[in-house]
Amino acid sequence: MSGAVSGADDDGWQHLHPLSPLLRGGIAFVAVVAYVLSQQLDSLFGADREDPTQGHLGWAALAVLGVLVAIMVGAWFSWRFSRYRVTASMIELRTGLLYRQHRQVPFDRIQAVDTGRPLLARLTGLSQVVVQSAGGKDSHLTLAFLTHARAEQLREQLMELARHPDGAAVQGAQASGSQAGALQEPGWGATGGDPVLRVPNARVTQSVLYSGPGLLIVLAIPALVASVVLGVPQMVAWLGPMVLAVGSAHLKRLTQECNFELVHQGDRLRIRHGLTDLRTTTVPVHRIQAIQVGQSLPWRITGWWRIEVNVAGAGHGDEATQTVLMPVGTLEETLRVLALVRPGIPRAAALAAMVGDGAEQGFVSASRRARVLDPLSWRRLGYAVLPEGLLTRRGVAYRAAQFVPHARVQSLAVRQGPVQRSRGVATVRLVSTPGPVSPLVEHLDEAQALRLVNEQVVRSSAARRAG
Amino acid sequence: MSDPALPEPTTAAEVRLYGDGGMPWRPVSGRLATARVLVLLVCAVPLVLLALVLAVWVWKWLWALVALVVVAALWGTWVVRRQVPAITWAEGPEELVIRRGRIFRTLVSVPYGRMQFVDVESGPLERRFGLATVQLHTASPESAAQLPGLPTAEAEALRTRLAARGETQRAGL
Repeated sequence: MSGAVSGADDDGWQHLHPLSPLLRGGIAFVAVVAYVLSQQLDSLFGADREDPTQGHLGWAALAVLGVLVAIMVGAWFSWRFSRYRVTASMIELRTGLLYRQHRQVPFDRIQAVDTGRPLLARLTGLSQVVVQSAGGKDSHLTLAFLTHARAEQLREQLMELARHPDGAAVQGAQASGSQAGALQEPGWGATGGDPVLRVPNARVTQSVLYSGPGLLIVLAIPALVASVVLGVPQMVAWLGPMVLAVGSAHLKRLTQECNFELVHQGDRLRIRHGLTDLRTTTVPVHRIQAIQVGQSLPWRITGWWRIEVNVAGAGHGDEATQTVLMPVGTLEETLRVLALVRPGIPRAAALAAMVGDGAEQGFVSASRRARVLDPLSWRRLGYAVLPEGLLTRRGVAYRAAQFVPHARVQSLAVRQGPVQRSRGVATVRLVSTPGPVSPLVEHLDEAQALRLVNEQVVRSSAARRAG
Repeated sequence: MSDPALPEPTTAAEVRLYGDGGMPWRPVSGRLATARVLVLLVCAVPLVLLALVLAVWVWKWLWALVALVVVAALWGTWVVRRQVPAITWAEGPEELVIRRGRIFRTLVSVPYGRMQFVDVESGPLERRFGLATVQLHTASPESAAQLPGLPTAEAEALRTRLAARGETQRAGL
């Protein structure tokens, strides 16, 4: 299949883009060159005639030239010995001259494929491709860099090859694609698919501000200005670092979530986001292990929700993996995304999990005896069994609804502390793969909690066999 | 509320937090308690001796420290003696279930089909007592359940059984 691509040898091995090593060493290289040039220009043409090389300008120039040549030769070797190929069953990457590395990712181990464009690469028209496999961050395969066109083509090709053999899941996802088709706009996106969601940057900015820490910063900045004007240095010493720390984290979130677009392509979702580092991630729908819909207290005023998912292979704090499916969206947008992700969540059940309480829509609520343990939100605690998975619900201040497909439950745990025991309640945890979502049902009646465990074991194993 | 298309749960035996509920619950070896008490004593005895020496030669109020350490050691022994019998495990039709703890009671249920691999570990002290720990690994580090204090032969047999069941029931992520 890769034989059709120009530049491939007989075995299908291809080189990365020739500029790759320079871009990978990018900023350092540019800095060195700029520094040397500015030094030399100063000494040659500047008003300051003091020569820093003390008359040995020729030698200095030769040394600089030598370093540059060494860098170029190193880069050339690095390029020459970095090769990749796509075979019938896997993608392979060979790197290194002295320390050779040969990495293979079989197609059935591919969890997601990303393309990323860091700023420098963006200026030169290049992209990197990150193939995420199930072994966590260390097992990812990174092709840096290829041309935009080649990167997109490779991503599409890999996603096509990594397509799950499980035809049922694929068909299910495609069937729900037709309803999102109504939103299609002509000429949107180069590679097709149904646009599901596009988040305006103004809303992303507001959403970051309408959070506890965001509001804190908004309040802290006038205080900071006032303390500088009035000359209260202690205030600056207190507020300054705090604002910097919280602010930079939020700024990072802002730059990552800008230009957010979600596109539905058959059995997979394509996410594009980023302000300076533009990234495109493709996640196969069947690789999603758990979903959480959440709404913080400030967001309730604006009616916004956030959707996060667990994708197998991603660890905690693994920034290479996209776990946000919708950074901020309205109720309608949330339901639209949920309908795509798991065709098994009926609209009414999703609504009940997001905003409802009590026993509506087949929800099993927490015990009344849990009032002491959770006086505010005990009415919201609970779960509902859907044909495709388990839906949990909790929280009044921070509303959260979680969904785990039956087949994706890793293990189950019941926990009962002394106070819970005196009230006859227990907490059930449905363990998922690592990620932002950790589904649990708190303070169920003890008998109900154990019934959930006993039944879920049977449901999960039946679903695993069927899948 | 469960979907009619799914088979209704047909477990005659059911998992419970306390009591057996028809499951073949098995305790871990009593030697685990002995081993843990031994570790406790190895830490406590030198401390008591040190406090004793200081109390006799330096400052008589240190007798209070001696009493404190002795009481703590006795309390620790009592806790260990109660904790170890509270660890029970059972092999269900689909899953391995481990229960532990008295004050904070936990129950972990790991389906055979979800086990990625199973380790049997045995430290020097455990080896002296002929014990081993069975460690279960799933795709999530959160559900890495461990079962301490099995006699070595039983641990090996359990590992073999788990591996065989995992092989037949394993599913993709």
